[in-house]
Amino acid sequence: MTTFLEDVSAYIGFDRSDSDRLATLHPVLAPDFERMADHFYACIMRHEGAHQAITGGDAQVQRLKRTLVAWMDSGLRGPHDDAFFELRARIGRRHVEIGLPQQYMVTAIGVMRQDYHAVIDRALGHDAERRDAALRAVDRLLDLELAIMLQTYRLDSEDRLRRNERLATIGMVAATIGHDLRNPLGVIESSAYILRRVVDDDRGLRHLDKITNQVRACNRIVTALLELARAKPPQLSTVDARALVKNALVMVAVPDQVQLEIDIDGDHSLLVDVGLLEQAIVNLVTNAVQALARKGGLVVIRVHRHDDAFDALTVFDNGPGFDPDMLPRVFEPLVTSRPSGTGLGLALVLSVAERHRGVAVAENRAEGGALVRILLPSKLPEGAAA
Amino acid sequence: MTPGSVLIVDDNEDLAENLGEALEVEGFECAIAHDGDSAIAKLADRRFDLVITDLRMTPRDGIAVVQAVRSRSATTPVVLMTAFAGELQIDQARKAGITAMVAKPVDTSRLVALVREQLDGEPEP
Repeated sequence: MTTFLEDVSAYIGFDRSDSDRLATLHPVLAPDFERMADHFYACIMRHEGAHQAITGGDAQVQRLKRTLVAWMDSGLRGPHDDAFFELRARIGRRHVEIGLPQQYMVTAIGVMRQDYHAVIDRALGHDAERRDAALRAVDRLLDLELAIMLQTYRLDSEDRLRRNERLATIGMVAATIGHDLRNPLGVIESSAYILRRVVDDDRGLRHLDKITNQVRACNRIVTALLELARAKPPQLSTVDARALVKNALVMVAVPDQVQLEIDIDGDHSLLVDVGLLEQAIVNLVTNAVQALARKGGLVVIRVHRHDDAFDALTVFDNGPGFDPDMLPRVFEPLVTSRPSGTGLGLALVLSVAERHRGVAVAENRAEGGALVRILLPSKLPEGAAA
Repeated sequence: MTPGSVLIVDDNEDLAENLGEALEVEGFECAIAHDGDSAIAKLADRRFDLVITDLRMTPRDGIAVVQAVRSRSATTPVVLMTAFAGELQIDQARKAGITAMVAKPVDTSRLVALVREQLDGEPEP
């Protein structure tokens, strides 16, 4: 079976000779890379729609320019192998994450193409044959770059669409079931309340406790479903990270053999919807605690500044980690590895992150154990009201 | 003298009865209605110190009950119980003049505490 890279290279006609030609072209074009990156981002910042994807101000633009120079560098140098493909695929995925409309990728490649052409014309204009060959090689490279980015973009947005459709379906079912279950749960709870005043033996009271606790567990599931279905935009406010985490932890039952560690700089604050974030923290810590329940271990809740644009909330443990087969799908609703799991916990975490215009990632730590990180924008997007 | 009279309106008969029983144990005098229409009829018959009502009912929903209470008294506390209300409905309920809102499923001890708090210090007319 041919890979996408082989397939599209054959279609475009990009081959070994192009790779070789681009490599010899590299020293000719490299001195202009930085100027081209400056020009590229000047174009983006002039464009209303495109520059909205950049939320981190000048520092982010500087970082993106360095990335663009590295991109030009590796594009010309090659090798145009699987690693090259993977790096380009990541750029496509990143564009989906930041919500960059794909027509901007096409126009962005157009800007790069014009600049490459201008530099080649200037440097090789005296040698028409060499110039034309260089232009053809660069064109094929850019076609290849674009094809990979758009392909990844399409696959990733299809994934997202599927997940959103699934969430919407769950949402509709949840709203109905949620409403229908709340009354029966209310009846059970209020009956237990009345019985508590009538029953006076320990055994009866113990069972009433069990009924009350299980009703609460059901309520939590219903609440999680309804939260997932909630379409309301988050109500952002600036809150003390430590207080937020501590409030959330009150809602998690932690057995003796599991230790919790909170790792937050003195007065770190976050710009979040308190209710949503608490729910996300509860879900993450509950997952970690359940993973450790048998053998015990450590759960760390860390909040730190990720970069100029994002704060990071990370929860990790030293348990068995995610099942590697499940890892790519852990955020999908109704996907769970626990027999008693609802498959809603991490779906809700991702939904909370996305409603904050952030992202959530899950991975297994090199040292062992699971890690989930939520990146939350530190600032409101420009023009948005608090 | 009882600590107060309460009208409980919910189309789930078991829930309305249970809440009534829980409040009666605390000494409140309770009446029950299972839809907006019969609640409004009861409000026309006599006055209550406090009204607890569900939102989604037919015929006539909780908003109609709130409006019926308010047309007779500006001060009678009205507690709205709801499982899943949209922003619009909550807004409507606020405008109609609810005093407090509790999420379903209602925690009975919290509801009892809320009723007591609302009626505490309310002078008998």
